[in-house]
Amino acid sequence: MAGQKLIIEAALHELVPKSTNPHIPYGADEVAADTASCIAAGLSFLHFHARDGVTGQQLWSDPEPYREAILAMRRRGVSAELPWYPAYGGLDRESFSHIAALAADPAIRLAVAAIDIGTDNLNDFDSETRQFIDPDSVKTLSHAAAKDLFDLCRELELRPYIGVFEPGHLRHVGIYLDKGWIEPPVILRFFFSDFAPFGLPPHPECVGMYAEMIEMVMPDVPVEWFVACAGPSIWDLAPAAIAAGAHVRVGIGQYHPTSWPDHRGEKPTNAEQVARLARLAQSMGREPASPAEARAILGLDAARGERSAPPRAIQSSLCGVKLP
Amino acid sequence: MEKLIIEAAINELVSKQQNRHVPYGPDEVAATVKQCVDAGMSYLHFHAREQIFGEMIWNEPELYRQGILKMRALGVPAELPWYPTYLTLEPFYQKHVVALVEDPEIRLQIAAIDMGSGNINDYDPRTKNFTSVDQTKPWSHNFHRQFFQICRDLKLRPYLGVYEPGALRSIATYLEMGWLEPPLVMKFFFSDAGPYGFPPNPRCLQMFVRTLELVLPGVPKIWFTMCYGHSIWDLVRPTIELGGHVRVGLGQYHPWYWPDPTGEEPTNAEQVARVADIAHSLGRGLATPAEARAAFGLSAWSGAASGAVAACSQSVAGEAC
Repeated sequence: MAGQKLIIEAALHELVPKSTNPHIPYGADEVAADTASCIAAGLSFLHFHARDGVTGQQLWSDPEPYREAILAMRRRGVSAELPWYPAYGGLDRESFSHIAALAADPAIRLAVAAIDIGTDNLNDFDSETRQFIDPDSVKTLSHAAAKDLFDLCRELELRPYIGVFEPGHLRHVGIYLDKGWIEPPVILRFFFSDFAPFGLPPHPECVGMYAEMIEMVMPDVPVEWFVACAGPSIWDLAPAAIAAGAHVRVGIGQYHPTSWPDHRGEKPTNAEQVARLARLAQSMGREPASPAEARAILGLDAARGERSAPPRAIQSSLCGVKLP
Repeated sequence: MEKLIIEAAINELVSKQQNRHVPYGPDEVAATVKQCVDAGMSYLHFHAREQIFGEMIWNEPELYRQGILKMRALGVPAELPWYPTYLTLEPFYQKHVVALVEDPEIRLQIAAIDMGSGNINDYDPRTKNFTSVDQTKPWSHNFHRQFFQICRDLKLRPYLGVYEPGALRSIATYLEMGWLEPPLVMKFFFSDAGPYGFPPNPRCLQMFVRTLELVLPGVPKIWFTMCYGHSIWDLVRPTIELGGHVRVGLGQYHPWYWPDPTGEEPTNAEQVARVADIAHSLGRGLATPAEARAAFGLSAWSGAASGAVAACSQSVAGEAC
């Protein structure tokens, strides 16, 4: 894997408010400007949330703010080939209605949908107050519910970007392949966290563990995988990920805690994080991929194909979502 | 290295159709346990099951009580640590646990909790079907807190079942919050039948142990390896070498939801003896039930009323204790 180009993903804002970091982009114009800066620094895969331009409120299921942002970033010279994916407020078809609209929109042609699989306790833990955030909540996605979302991805010609929180989720993926619910190439994101006690701890050795387990669970399956971490330990994990042939997600959306104030005082920009990662990769002999190269590595064109109009199945699945 | 504790899960949900040696009622349980103790077992888990059909008796203490008293009558030490099952962790389903704790002849001291949330469905590779494909195990942090409080109230040592490494991080957090106290007694779950957790192979056992070192350094703890399926035999030797303890038993050896294609029908005692042989070959001694009890941080057994045991011994031939 040494020498393979590195896809640098950035999660621009997630749930982080400007009060934590003033560089968090709200609204289409700020997202577009931030993305253009990140592209110049080496970004080739984008994730952002649609948020109100003034308050930063999450706009979970409205396709229009996404559309505005994508078109605005293109006007700033961002390649239309840049792969990206939106957020959602739930793991069900109804919560994916904006994703269906964005996939069907010929001006946008969304090609990726993130699906965080499995059931787990993902609650943040505030070490100052020694309290869990929302300790009654559990993130649940049964195997049947995952299949439904994979079916939706197939209908919409979307490549699932599969979020893995625990080793067991990797075994889920192996079975989903066995059942034909998903097809290779498989795109995985391994979540680590400084803020929530789930999964393998955010230690460089644990990146290597995941690399080994991919080989155990899915030998000979084409896999592209990313390492993401909520918190500053991403900088401990990134060298291990680059060395292992993985790709990396950075971004101030995942850098700061979202359940309590960040007392560290660091306020980087997204582009600074992308540039830092690009320098690190180059020092290790991996060049950043371009958006078009990222698209090819992720197999997006093969998944989607060329088309001039949304297939009938897609149109029928929009269920009242207004096409732009 | 500390002595090896061999645990056996002697029946779980496995039927006699799968293996005729699976014990159902108290008499069969007692006889099986005696054989296992003689072979080197020092820690027991069993399910109360009806004698004829093997139906699970989830919430009643009586069959547990009978099983325990009958095994003592056969010469099994009263010090033997053991734990029952339950349908779920809701307090209502713990009433047999409360009864077994409060029973002066039984004095249950351990309660198992399978930590965390997950999709714990088995997957049959021949039919390519999940069991209960809609089902999840959604046990929140607060749900765990409630269970640990029950354990504290009843002076029970929690036996922490770990399916995923995230549960180790949760345990570390629960320690920080004071929900748990050391020493920790943990069980690492592996499975051939269910696609969850680390894959069941020796390298992943090393990963589990390394994760344990990263997450819980310096915390007094002991850990067991168990596996649903035949891969347990790939894990026993490295577990013993790494200082862990081992759970075997027919209850975890055969698939629960489809026939075992191997047709193997070992006994529980044969499985215990096989682990004991491996331990001996590696130079690791076997713990006695009393030594296992001490390793768990449990108080020494102060003795059930000898009269009750004697009375029970007279009834082993069929009458209920």
